[in-house]
Amino acid sequence: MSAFGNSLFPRPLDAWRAASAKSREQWRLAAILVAPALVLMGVFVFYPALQTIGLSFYKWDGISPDMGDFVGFKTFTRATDNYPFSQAIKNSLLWGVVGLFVPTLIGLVAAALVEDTNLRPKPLFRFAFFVPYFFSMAVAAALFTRVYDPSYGMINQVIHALGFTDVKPQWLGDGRIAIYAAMGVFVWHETAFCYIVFTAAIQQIDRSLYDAAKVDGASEVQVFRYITIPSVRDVATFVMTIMLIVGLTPFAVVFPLTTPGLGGPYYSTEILPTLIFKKARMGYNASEAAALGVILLILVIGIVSAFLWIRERTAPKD
Amino acid sequence: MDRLNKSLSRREMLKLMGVGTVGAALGSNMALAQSVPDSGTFRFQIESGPGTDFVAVVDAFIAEHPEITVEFSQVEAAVVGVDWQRIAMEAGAVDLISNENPKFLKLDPVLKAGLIQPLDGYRDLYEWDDWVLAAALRRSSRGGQLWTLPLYYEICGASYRKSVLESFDVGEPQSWEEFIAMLEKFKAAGLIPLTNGHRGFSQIQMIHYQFWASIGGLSGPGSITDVIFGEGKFTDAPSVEAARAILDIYNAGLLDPDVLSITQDDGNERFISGAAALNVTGTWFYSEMQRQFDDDWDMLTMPGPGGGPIWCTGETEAMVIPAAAQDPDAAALFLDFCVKGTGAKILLERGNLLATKAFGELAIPQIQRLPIITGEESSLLIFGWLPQNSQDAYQQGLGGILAGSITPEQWAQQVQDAWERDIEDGQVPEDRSDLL
Repeated sequence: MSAFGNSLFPRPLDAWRAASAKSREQWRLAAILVAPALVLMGVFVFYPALQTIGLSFYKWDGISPDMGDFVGFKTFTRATDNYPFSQAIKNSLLWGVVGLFVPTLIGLVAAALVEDTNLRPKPLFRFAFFVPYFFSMAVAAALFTRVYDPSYGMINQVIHALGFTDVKPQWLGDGRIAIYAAMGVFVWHETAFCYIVFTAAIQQIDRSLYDAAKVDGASEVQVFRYITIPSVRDVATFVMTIMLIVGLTPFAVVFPLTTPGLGGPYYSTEILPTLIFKKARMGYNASEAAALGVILLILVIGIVSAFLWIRERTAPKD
Repeated sequence: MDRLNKSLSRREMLKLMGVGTVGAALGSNMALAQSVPDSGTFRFQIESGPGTDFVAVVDAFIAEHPEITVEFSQVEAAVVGVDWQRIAMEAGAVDLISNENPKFLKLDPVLKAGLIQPLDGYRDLYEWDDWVLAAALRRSSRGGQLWTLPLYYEICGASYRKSVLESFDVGEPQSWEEFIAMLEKFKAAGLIPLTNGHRGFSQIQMIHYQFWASIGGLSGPGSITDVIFGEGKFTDAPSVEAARAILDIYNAGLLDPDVLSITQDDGNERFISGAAALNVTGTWFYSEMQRQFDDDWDMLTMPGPGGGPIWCTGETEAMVIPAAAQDPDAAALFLDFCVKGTGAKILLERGNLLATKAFGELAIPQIQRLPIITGEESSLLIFGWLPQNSQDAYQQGLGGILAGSITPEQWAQQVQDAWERDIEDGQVPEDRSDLL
């Protein structure tokens, strides 16, 4: 393990010299296995990211053959000094919080209910909870444009059928609730992912722990609190990290719900990725789009790092 | 090989003449000897929507000009992205391509990037001034040179069923009072008086265009033309009053209460189903109405407070010849075929509104009465003249007014700020007076 871990990557040449023939062979194998991924990441992730960072300091429209003048941080100032940006930051952070907790929590509870209780038939519940993930996020959002229709949509029809004939929420038209309607699609879809991962994790827990707890008279809530949650802690960290990243960049939800008037009504669903798209693809302002991309990158890396740091600090010592 | 040499030579000449940069291009006088080709091949690419009609046009062109080869392709813009034209031009893959319209959002960026060549030689050769509407040619020019040729025109308005208006004993309103009275009658009968979709692409802006044109007049201070091409501001009274008028009809229940939640397609459905009496749309919806209602439909333009009905018109489907074109002469011959040849006839017969005077007598009655054919003066259809920042502020803000998030005055200020920013960023030419 050490050949692939601490002693290898910090000082590879030293490690190479010191390694035994067997370790060298392992090192070669590791390099061969990692190389394709590194090359692909380099070409399609790191290089474009560096290029974007560079571009954010120039004034370029995205179409002229020559890069414009170097303007330093002026692009950042112009990209951020406006109402749509402040809305986008506010909404992105809200999405991040919702993404971090809501689908994770619902997915975990649902998985525990199905796996740790006598709920039957389990395959049916598993299927039902996972169904949303059959659709891509964008398709799910496109479907919900009909579900949210104020006159013919399923939700308002149900509200009407329940007797609330005067209540007719404009789910995607009312700026006060549109963001939550969009988040509803996100939660509906991503809960399925969380559910399936937690289901797999719960199925790996040693069943004798549950049996022992029951013999000791533990309630199902206590079993969930003291056995299930601690046992899936590492998986929860993984799921929450993914949800945080997806929650900070929910373009696939907002785009189908609001395109081509992206981010509406009146910027109420604006997020950083929609702003970037508008500047780069609906207008000719590649530099500001790049600056916003850099801000988003910093935001995502910063928040995810902070989350992982907190998780590390609060982890049980054992 | 001769053709290759010719095209290389032309490209080199264009480069030498400075077409690669907008400054040089605007200052140059094209002296190339454009001619009617006796043979050639050109590559023509267009978006698949209008491209459907062009299948027939290309077939007719090949039949009339067997000496010219056309390599025709359609592009699904939704799949390849918004900048497919730029990529095709940069790659030197086309000789003729639709750049959608001659407006700031479309023409100026590709002109600035040096991707297209001026058409003045062909304009003279084929005498397009005698055929193409003067305003279309003027708005397609920069620095005294013609850079794109708009083939289509579009007009926005409110569509209606003739039989519905007859049943309510009302005609097309000539004043704000008549318009409101008509909407009140529809409302009293349980109809949605005026439907409109704001979600996605906001059609509320089209109500605003019409009210604004009506209040501001054709070219006075604060008119649409004055703001887009002159010294006017979005904060001038006509624009603000038009925005307030939309809020008034919304608050009075005369505009679809679902306007903020529904899309343009939803509005169309409500109109077609008979749930709504009027539907904010434009000439692009003509073929669908003809299909649905035979001749029982038409379109009116809505008067704003204190004004009469004034149509808003705009150019679209404008064709450009890239600077890297290999056979611009053949491409221009095809363009002329669409301006005054059989191509124009085919496009017209298919319900398109053209920027050319050719075959006007063949147009359907609903088109015959529009200012393009009658020669009546019209206001500008703003869409496309606003770059992204301004357009976003304009569109999002109108929804914000109805949602109570901002006032009409705040909206106007936000659009003006975005507009000034777009000018400062070079997205809009500072001097736009030659487009007037």
